[in-house]
Amino acid sequence: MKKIMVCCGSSMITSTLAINKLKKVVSDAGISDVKFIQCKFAEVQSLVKMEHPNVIVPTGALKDSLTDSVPVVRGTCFVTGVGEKEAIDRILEILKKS
Amino acid sequence: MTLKDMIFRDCILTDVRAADQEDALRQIFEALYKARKVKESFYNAVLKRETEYPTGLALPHCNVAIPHVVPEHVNSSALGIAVLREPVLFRQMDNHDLTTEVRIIFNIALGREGKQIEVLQSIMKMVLEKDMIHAILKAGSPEEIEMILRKVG
Repeated sequence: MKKIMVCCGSSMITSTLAINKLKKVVSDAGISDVKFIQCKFAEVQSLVKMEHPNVIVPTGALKDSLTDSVPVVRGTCFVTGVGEKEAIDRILEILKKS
Repeated sequence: MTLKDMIFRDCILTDVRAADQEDALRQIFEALYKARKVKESFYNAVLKRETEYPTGLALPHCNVAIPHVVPEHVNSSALGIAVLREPVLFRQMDNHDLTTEVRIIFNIALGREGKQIEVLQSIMKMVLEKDMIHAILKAGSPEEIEMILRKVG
């Protein structure tokens, strides 16, 4: 199973926007069995250790020290719509490799 | 609850002169508070959240900020809008070390009944449309902006 951790300030608004888009992206790419972990920035550090996600997609800035060397792809584009394609390509690349 | 249900003329400010981010957010808060849309705690909650998780967005046609807080500070959903005469600086959502010169602030006050996702999606769709954003920037009055936004849905 692949795991994508999507986080934002409240774990309610912008991360939901990103997850909605990513669900379609992974299904279009034919990747099944993906688990989305939605959380607040403040929860990343502890949840990373528990869930071991393949990739972290924060909709805002996230300190590197919290991510336990899991690859991070900036997800602000899933809120704004600007630069989505690059982020999608990067996420799919990571998922396929892992 | 969609974007259309959150548009109130007295929560739209045009030609705003603001010294800085705080000043701009205070003016929006005063309009929202006067219209009884938000609680007194809203202003400090917005400032605090903006410090922790800034919402400045550098976009192709116009840089905007989309401050939003949890529903406990809101009485009923409303969109506070300020079109600024001169831009003020917001830190960027995706890189807190960078600032962006913001001309329009969409202060999203969502109550518990609000469909936050749909509302944010409508706002983002709107700010990415060149004609739409130019119309908002050029609008001379809250009435004009209200009309433009009602067309979006």
